[in-house]
Amino acid sequence: MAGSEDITDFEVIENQKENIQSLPGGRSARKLAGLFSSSPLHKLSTPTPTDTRNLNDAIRAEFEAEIENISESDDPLDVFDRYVRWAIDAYPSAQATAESQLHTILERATKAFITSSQYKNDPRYLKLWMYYIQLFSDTPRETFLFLSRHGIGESLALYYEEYAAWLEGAGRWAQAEEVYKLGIEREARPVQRLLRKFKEFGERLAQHPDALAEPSSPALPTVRPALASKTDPFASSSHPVDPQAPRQTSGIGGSSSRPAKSKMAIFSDADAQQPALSSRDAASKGWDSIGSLADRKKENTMEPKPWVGETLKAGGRKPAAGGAKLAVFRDPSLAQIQNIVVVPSKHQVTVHPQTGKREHIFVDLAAVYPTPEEPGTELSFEEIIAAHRGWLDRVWDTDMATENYTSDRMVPLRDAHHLTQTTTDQLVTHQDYDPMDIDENGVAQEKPREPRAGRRKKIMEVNETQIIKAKLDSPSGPKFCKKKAAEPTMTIHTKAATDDIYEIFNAPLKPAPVEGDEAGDDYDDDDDEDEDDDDDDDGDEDEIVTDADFASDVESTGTTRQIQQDEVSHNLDGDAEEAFSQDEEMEPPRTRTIFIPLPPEDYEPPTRPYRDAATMANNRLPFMTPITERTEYSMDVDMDRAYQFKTPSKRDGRATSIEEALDSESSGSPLREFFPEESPFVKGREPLGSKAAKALSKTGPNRGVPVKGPVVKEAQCSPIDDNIRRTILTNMQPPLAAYPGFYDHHNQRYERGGEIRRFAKAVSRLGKANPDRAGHGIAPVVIRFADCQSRYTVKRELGAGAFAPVYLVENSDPDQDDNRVMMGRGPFAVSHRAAVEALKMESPPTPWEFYIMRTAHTRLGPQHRATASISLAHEMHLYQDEAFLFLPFHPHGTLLDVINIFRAEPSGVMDEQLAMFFAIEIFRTVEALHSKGVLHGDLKPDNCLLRLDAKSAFFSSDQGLSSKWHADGSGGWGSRGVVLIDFGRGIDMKAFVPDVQFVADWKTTAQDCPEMREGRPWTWQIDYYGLAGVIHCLLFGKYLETVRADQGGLGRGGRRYRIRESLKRYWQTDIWADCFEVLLNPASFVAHEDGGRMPVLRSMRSIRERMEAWLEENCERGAGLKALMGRVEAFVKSRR
Amino acid sequence: MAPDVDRLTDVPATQYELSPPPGDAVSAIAFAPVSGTKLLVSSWDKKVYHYDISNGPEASSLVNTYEHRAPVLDVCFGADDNEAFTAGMDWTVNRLNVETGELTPLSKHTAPVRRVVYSKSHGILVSASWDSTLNLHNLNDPSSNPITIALPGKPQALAGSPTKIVVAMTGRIINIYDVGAIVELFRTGGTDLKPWQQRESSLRYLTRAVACMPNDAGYATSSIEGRVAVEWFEDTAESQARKYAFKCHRQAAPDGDGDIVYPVNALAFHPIHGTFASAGGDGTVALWDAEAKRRLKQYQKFPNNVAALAFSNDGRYLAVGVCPGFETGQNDYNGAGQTSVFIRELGENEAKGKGAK
Repeated sequence: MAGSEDITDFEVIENQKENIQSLPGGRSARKLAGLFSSSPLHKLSTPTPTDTRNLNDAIRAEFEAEIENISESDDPLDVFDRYVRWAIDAYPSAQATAESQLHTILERATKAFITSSQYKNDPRYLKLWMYYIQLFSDTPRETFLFLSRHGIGESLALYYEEYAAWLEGAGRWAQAEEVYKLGIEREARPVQRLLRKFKEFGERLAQHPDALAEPSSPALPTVRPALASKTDPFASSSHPVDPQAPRQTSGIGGSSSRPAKSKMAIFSDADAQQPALSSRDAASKGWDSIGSLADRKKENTMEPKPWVGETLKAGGRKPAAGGAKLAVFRDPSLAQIQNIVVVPSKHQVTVHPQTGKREHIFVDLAAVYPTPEEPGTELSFEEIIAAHRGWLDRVWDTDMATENYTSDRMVPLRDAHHLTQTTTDQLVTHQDYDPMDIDENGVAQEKPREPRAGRRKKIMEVNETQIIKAKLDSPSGPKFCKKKAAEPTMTIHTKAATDDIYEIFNAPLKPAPVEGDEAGDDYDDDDDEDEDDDDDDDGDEDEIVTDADFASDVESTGTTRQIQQDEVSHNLDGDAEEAFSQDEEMEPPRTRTIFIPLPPEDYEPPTRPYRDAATMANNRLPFMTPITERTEYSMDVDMDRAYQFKTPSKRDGRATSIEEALDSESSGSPLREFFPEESPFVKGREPLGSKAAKALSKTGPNRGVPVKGPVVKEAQCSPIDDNIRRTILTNMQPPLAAYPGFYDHHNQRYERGGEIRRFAKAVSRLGKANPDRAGHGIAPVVIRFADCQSRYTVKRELGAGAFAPVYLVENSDPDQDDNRVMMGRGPFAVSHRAAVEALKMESPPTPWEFYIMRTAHTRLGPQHRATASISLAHEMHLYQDEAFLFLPFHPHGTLLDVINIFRAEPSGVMDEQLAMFFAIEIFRTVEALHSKGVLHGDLKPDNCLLRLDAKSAFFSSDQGLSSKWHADGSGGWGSRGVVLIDFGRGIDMKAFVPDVQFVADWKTTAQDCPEMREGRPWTWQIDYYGLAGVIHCLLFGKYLETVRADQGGLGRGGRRYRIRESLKRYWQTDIWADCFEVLLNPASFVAHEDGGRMPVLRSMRSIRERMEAWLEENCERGAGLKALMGRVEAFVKSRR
Repeated sequence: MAPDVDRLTDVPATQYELSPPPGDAVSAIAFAPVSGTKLLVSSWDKKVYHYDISNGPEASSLVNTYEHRAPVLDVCFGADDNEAFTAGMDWTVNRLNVETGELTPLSKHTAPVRRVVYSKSHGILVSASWDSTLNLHNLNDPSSNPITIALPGKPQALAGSPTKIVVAMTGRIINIYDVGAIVELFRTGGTDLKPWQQRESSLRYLTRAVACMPNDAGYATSSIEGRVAVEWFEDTAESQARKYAFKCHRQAAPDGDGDIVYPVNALAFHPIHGTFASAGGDGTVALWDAEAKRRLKQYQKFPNNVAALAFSNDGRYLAVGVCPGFETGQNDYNGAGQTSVFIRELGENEAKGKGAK
């Protein structure tokens, strides 16, 4: 017996070898033999399966019992280690037999210690992982990466050897080498073995000379946080050969050198490798766990369900094509409840995707969803109100015996959040049954929340929000403490505490406690003041002390600061009150709001992208601009109010000096005082009180007397303010009514606007459905005006802006009208009435655009070359409800269309010559406008129409276009160019004092000049920036983006900007760079100008002349400007 | 719950206000299971009001008030007209003897109790609290302790049908529990109740109200964003395909720019016709036919946000709780003086569906 024990009977093993799985470390022959010959009596026969199973089950139960008590164990890993080893021994084909449950054991074992630092570099633990990888893992590489992310086996040579071996087996030599090197670099132990293996690897590698030259990604790529959870799905499949590797063509020289590598040795920073592996920081998010095998393959298992009601598909027939698409697997356990993130700011007002209807959610989503990123944290109204009233903090007596049914709470399965939540609750339950109280860190216990007046409660709401958020956080994690640290003001919420503070610092000041109390309220307030507009009514001093610095500065500056504050607040208070009282008396109905025009009931806001195919049809015609005037008008009551009160005080908060705040305040309020007398054509639009007239007589000398010089004396104002505009229109000489073509019926209603709109809508609908017969079947709308013989037949809509749709009209009587206008008046010599014209219907009606256009033409005179580049207002019919502005029709599209032609080309941008040509055209026009004191105010590619005059007013182009471009416009070039349209935002600078500064009180966009966006005053910059934007579009085919080019800092002249894009090397970089330099930083060039102030006409002119010189020289280079122009013309004509 | 008496007579529809009204916002209204003219109104002023409307609009109808320690968030009737249950801000579920006004605490949560629902067929009371638990009370065995069931979210609405309990929670989770399983749980003394079904809300936003169809076929949910969804219990593909959601309680914005979307605060099924009423923050109550997917009626606007709704057991009366809406997150909310309860006497066929076409 003893002898047979000593010598293992290999025959047994030999007989069973197909049932034995080979292990890298080998197996104990004795154990195997013992296993397959459990009974010494029947050594050669196979043991009965039941015997083995019973035995194994018993042992397994022992292990399980041990695992049960694992928390008591000194070395919990040891249990698993033994368990796994036993399983491997006991089930020689463990991988194949489900009975062994080896993979569950391994999964449990490996998962249990992922975060354990104790076992991170324990070879036993790593070995468990290696078993798992070798025997079960379907994605070894991913698992190796997972280990690396968690730093498991970081200092063990085994990890590097195994990973490298696997990579080598997959043919990724370069990656394998990288892994070895990394291991050696990290001095993974045992170093000697690793070095030996690396040497062996090197030898093997030498036999594959080209292996390293293959392209390869890093073996341990850095984690990209944004895509963290997304691992490389392709790399994980274990193809024998790197699929990315190009197929080796044998016999490239056959040399053992590595040509590819030596050719281009890319420097790689050795240190930069470090974060690749040691990224256990935030970047490791998404690597928190590697799903168990069953989890990863769960799409392959079918959930058992009862057969009741199931119909068995009869075989044979294949399902109809299309029906049997591969269904994408959805994990029901996770996807069943999808977390739809409700972002309060985004969802409060939504636009219906189909109807384009705006939907304002009445509920304050920010209150209901305080932490939208966390699912399940939304609050019901009752909770909000209960929190406001302080009910949530109340602890109710514990007279009821609750232990018996609170202790055995089930842990919800949802996710970790809820787990922690419940644990919190449980913990709390055992203490005093008050989760809320504990979450507030005991602070709130001092003072139960009670309803308090006014803004105080707002504060509470915010706090409440955070409390509930904190509740879901880990109760033990550091995050919890951080939250609290961010909200340290809880204790000084109490009135007593605030008073205490102010007693300390404000002792000499008698009224200080009162002031201070209010201030005390405020300085907790800054996080919610944005959403909380109601606050502004409280008065100004509130806002001033809202300054977040105040709270922190109290200690340092103490009393001095307080005094300052007081002064300022008194001053401002006075100002504001003054402005406010006037305001109240003069415009009780908030007249501004009247001017928010209601879009027609069938108006559809352009929600689609601008280049949408559906809108393309409209874009082919001029006047189609994605009209942005909306922003200009969109300020509502709040904005208006904010401008009066909020803005100045805000500025104070934004670290500008208090003086400046005063400055802007005083310059802001006169704007309010400015009320012109009623102008003849705005009568009835707005009731003006007698107080207004009085104020007017006080402020303005411009009552009825024709004024020389600027009409508006304000040093700072909003140029689009209706009052300002009205003043200008009222006081202009000659009066607007004297302009030919201006028909004033402001006290009549035309009443047909809706009809026209409906007609145009119907036509466009019909046109879409049936383009050939557009307009048939609908009686055309004919517009007649009482004092004008022409009849205008509306054909179709050219462009639908929010406020001014533009229609194509047929003029019944072009010549007659033409003569009449032509007679006498020089300025209108260019006014050739055509059979087809454009009609812009402005609602609310305003003659402003007409005025600016006429002014521009009058000042330039008919002979000025730029006149042809400025759209002309033929006629204006002003009614109470509608304004009809007749404009020439330019059928060739806009500059934007031209830009888009070239964007479709491979190059993506237009040729420099053509860009230069258009740049010169616009430069010239804008220069001319500016020299006459007219600002366009809304320069953009879509406001520049293509001008391809068949017969120009000045130059006959009959002789055709010469291939040589001439700056003077000869050779037919003069009849090509651009026409500026849309002067609705135009500004007549002559109506203002020379040093006027404008402020934009509308919402600015990225397309507005930086001065506007940053709330600084501006004047000519608006056009310079617009011009820069147009040129940028021409050159790059994308919208202008600027970056600060200075060192930062404040100061008005200090800021410098440059374009974000870099100019192409082969362009005329010096010209373009100078061009943008002037346009983006005009203030730096005023020194060269007359009077040292803008407009920077000389700089512009010099740039234009340089452009012209270059273009004259180079217009025939390459394809040539003529050919380019020809393409543009051909394109424009072809698509008409 | 199904009424045993059909006493619908041809009475013209009238509407009147109960006086005196509750002192603060209404949280829930419940009609008595038998009499049909008795109703309880729970209010934020810590009281439950007991009205009797059998004397018509002229007579003062307030019978009694029951003072609680804290605002009462929900009320429901129990087995008979004298037994009611209240859920309050004070974490407690109370049994209220309507006759005597005696309050007996039944169980306690660790946070305010949002809703209670009574299942008459099995004598079970279910309470849902913001501590994310349900308490199941076996009223047939008064000595037994309530069983606490953990929920995956904070319950915000609760409704019961003869065989199902529907709990709508935050995180858009809806758990449906089988009443039979609860009975079984009581019998075995277990503590682990798995939902019969867990569903995702069909609505994008927070669920505001749930109501079960009286015929036990399904339920309706509403959200804070003007939408109501109707779903069926039956877990078959064709039943689930029938579920739908629709927009309601929206009004054109005063500036003409789109719609203002109000929350739908309450839902109530008509016990006889199976149609249901929805109450919105816009101050309107609308009657819907869930089967035919049609709106039957929209009542004239009430002066304020409608917070609660209840049909009497015979379907003859509709009680409408009106108080200022607190959905804008205002902090000084107070319903005092602006709260009222309207009783609308329905015409015979007023709430009758037109039938699916």
